[in-house]
Amino acid sequence: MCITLICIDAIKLLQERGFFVKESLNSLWNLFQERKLSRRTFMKSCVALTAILGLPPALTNKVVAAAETKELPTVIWLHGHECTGCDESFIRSTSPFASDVILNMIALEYDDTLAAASGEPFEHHLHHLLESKKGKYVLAVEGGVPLDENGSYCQVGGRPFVDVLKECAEGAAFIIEYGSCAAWGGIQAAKPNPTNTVSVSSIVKGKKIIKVPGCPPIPEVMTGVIMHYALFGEIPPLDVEGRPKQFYGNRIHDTCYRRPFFDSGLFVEHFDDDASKAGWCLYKVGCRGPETYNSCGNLRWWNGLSYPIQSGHGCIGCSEKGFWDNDNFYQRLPHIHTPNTITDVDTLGTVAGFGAFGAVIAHGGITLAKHKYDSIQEEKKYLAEQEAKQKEAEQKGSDQ
Amino acid sequence: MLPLNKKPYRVFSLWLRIFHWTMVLCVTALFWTGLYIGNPGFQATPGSVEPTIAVGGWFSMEMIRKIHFIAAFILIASLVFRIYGGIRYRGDRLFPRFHKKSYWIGIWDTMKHYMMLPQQREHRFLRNSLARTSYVGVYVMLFLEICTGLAMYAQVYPDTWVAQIFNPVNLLFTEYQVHMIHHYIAWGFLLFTIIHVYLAFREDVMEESGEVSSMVSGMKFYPTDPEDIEDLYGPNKK
Repeated sequence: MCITLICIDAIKLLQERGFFVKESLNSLWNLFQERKLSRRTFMKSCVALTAILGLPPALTNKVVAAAETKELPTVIWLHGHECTGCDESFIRSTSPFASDVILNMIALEYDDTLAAASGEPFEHHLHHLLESKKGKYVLAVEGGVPLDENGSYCQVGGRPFVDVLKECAEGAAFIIEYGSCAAWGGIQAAKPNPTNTVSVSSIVKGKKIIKVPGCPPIPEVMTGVIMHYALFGEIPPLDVEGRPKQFYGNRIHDTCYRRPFFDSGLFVEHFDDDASKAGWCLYKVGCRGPETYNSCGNLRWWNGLSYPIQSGHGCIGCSEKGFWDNDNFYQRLPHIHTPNTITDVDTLGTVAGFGAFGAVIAHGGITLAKHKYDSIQEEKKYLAEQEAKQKEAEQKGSDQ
Repeated sequence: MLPLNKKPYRVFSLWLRIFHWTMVLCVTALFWTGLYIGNPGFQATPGSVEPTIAVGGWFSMEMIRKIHFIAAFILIASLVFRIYGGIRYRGDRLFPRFHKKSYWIGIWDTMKHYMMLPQQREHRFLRNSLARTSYVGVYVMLFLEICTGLAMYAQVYPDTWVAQIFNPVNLLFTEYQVHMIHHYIAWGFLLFTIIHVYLAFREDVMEESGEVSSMVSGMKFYPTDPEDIEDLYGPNKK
């Protein structure tokens, strides 16, 4: 019930601020003044923003200055081959106050999922935007791009998504790939990838692209990336894979509150054992924390309420490339991806080790046997030769 | 006792012998600690251990990982010294000579030798073609293990220079696959060790060339010059 109310509220806010706003867009401070919010509230929001953006407290002044003067960025939000779960995540970033602010700080001009009821006129609005805001708007893309059959596996407004994406990407200031589908291809790209779905960055070349992977990404992370651009006019520092460092700089494993149990070697063996109740490490039941970069360990979800590991379920590494193919999620070592095998590499290695050991012993045995056989043969040959010589000598003797 | 009709050859430098055994110890430690890290087998249940002090125990993940990392860095250092030795001494770089016809004939001859098929004449090598190839294989495996290992090690500190160098490994695959590849290759070392030790002992028993002790003394013994003596003394000297 509460969530529904929040949703309705969020959509209302979106409509208020985001849609069909044609007049010049204002800064955050103007927005606060319009809403009759105090300077104190504004300052508190800026401090919260600084923290969420992963900036040191000393930079609060800069954040305040930017929030007073910078115009809200226009955002066009496209949806491709996906489940719209990232949208669901995004609109839930309203529950904490700071996130509410963040949501109001962007001018979300086009989001076809949230405005599905608007129909055809909304598409015209998009074309208007592409021309009037050329080179200035931020393009947020959610969902993968299917390429097979000329991209007809995913149609938006009656056109293949790949065409829409290329058209919108051309005039974008930069592109944000929201969610694992846009960033890596997503679940629909799982082997054997029947629709040949790829990431946005493999279609669009020559643009600055920020990857914000996750299935879905953390709401505060989604909004925080846009915020960073809104306040500083530049994209956040990215790591080698193109993800913002402030949110994807640490592994879940290194920020996990259950890490001490890992270091102590205290592991959950089954989901129903005492160790599970005691909250020990989920490494042995398949937690992908050691291979996953995300902020779940420190930001957590739903206003810091919880995250999968805190709820007793291992991380499945949903923000990592190819996580969908790394099954089984409940085992540390997956089964080898060969049809009709039910073994893992350790079993295979042990069998191969014993096999090699047996083969070596057999080979050694055969070597020794052959050596023995050869020497017996040689001895026989030698004896036969000796005998022949003796006979010859005897014959010679008898002849004489 | 040394048979009187055999000549001694100094093949391996002290440099190689020391770091061969260092690497044996390191790889052994790495293999078993690695297996534990992949699948921590010693089970603790609530009540059997006190979580507050468990981290200091010998079989805590912390300790096993520490041993793994220390052994890994010693291994990397030994490899660097081995490479130096290989540059310095001829006997330390008995690698396959792919461009030479004798290498390819040697492969076939050695295979026949191990399959115990009859041969026209006896072949004697300082190191036969198959062994040369397998050692290159081991160095490749070591290289892959070091690359994936350091890539994983640097995942904790993505801003350090180690990460700058080895992060691209994560890009080639995924973080999870890098863990898996590291784990798969480790089993290759076990298989290599079994076959390597067996063949060394077999050679020593059958040929009486001091194959096993050569890794301690550096000496091998042959009645006549081995066919690949050129690799030890250089092309000019006989």
